Amino acid sequence: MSADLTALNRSTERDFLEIGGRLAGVQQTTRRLSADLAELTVLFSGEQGKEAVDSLVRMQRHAAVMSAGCAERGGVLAKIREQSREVRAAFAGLRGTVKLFRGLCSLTRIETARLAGAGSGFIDLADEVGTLSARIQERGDEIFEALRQLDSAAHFALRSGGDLRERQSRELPSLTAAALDGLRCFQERQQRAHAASLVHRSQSEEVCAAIDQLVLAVQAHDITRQQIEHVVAALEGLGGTPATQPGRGLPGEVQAALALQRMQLASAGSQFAEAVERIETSLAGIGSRVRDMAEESRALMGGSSEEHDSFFLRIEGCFTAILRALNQCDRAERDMRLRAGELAGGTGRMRQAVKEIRAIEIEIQRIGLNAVIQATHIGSGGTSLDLIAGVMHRLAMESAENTERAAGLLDAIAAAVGELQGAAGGGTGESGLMEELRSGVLRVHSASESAFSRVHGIAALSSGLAEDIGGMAANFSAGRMFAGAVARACGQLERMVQAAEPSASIPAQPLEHLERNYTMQREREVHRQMAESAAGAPVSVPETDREEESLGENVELF
Amino acid sequence: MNATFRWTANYALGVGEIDREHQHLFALAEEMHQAMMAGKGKQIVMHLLDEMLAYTGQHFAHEEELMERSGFPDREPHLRQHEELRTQVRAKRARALAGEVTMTIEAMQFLMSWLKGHILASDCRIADFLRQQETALRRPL
Repeated sequence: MSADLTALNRSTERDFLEIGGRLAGVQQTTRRLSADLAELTVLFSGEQGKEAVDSLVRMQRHAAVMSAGCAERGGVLAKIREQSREVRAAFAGLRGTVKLFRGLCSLTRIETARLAGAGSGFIDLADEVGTLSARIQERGDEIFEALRQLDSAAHFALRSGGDLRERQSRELPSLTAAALDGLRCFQERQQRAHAASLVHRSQSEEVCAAIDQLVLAVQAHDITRQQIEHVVAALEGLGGTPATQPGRGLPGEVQAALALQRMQLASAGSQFAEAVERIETSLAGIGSRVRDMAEESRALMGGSSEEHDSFFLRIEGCFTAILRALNQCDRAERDMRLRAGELAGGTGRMRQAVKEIRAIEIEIQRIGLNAVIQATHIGSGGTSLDLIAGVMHRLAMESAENTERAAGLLDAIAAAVGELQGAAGGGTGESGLMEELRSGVLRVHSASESAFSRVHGIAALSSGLAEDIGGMAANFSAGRMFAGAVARACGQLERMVQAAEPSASIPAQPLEHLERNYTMQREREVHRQMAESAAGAPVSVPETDREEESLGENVELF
Repeated sequence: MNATFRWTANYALGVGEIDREHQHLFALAEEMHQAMMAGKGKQIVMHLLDEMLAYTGQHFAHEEELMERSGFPDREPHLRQHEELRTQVRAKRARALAGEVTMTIEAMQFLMSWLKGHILASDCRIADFLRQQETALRRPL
């Protein structure tokens, strides 16, 4: 019996130690949960939230500025295309003029042959004009090619500018607005989470307080364990006395001791049953609170966990789309700068060609003028040559007028291209701003991924906590084991006492007195008062017989 | 510190190599979870997808071999699930490789549904089947 009781004491001790350890773990997790909730409420509130909203508002404003700049550049490009068409028109007659020059050269050669020696000087003149006409033709072709390229570059620049403007004026602001809506929605959720976290925190505190009470109840079991130890020690002591007196059963003192130990065990059993009931009630209470917390965690910001996930996914989609639009704007800006560079190169080549044409036209005018003078020297025979030279001179003058007009247009185009390059080439500041906007979006995304993970972490932590408490309550078998072992021992003692003949030497009253004063109830009261004093209540010594106050040498107060 | 993604014996298939690979996936999810809590998921999302891609190659091959060897009856749907997961991982990795870093929440949700749908559901069916087979083999004739 004493071995059974000792084993019982050991096993309940182990059981209670394990419960104590797990409760400490639960308390630690509850505190971590509370801290996580507090951190969650910081996300998207205060500085971080302000910064996120500022970044997106700045992006919206900048998109409007970029869009206005883009519209302006579109106007410049349209003007450049218009002017390039005028340049084409100005040079439209150039091929015809060259043909006429060639025709005039042929006529000059025919007329010179007719005049024989008198017109010999005109052969060189015809050759020279022929060569110059060919050069005009070449430069003209160059100009037409450059005009084709300019038109194409302006066309593509206008098209990509249109795309860019579309993104800047519509796509980017609409994405930013969606992200801002998402953030506002998140802030509402965050407020709900904040309110929920306050409830959670108070629930966590209640859970921690309940755990403290539970730990006290577990500690109180030490007194019951000592009581059992005393019974075991007493029974082992009785083991050394003669078991029976022949024909007379157990000696009276042994009977009394056995009866006393049975009472002790019964008292310990009922004390333990009460303690276990308290522990089970506390565990059930904690379990219920923690289950509520887990349930609330799943809907921390309102809505189901699936709804949370799709909300976070939607907001992440917004950030991804904004970054994609920003990248496309960046590419379009770079493309615009490239096109502006091409336009500047083409315009420069055309201006050079026009300059050469102007020089050739002046040369032809000079040749024509010389020919008129030479024809005058020939006299009446040179009338035809005079006529040809006159036409040549006039033609060169007319061509020069067109070339002058084209040169003026090209100057205007060059200025417009310069303007375009200036606008598109604010490049370094622009790309710096783009980078700033990009970093802003990435920062906001980081905050949202952090909130997403924290919400999941909190839900997982709460569920784990609920499972731990549930498992602890389900596996708490100490009460049943203890009651069984004590009942067995009490029954055995009872049978032993009843088997013995009643002894006249056992006075009932002192035994009852002893039983009443030897249940370690006093130790329990002291323990309770110490626990209460730890919680702030004043300690009062129980009003009992002062001489009965000694707790015994082997009673531990912890 | 309590991990949010923690492999426990409840998820064990009883096949050492496959269980170790499952543990690795849980560890990967926990690593990503911790990085995201600190707002640093973007720094490791590529690593996560690389690991997941490697995982689909190695681990799925092991599982497929096990299913074939044991004569697992639902092998075909499980293989289709593997192929679908492989395709999805490749697509996500390609997007991340193209510079789309803001896909951490999406990647994490994908991994979580993988853990829940594949390991805790489909793979558990293989484990149950293997256990039943083992019991049947031990039963006296």
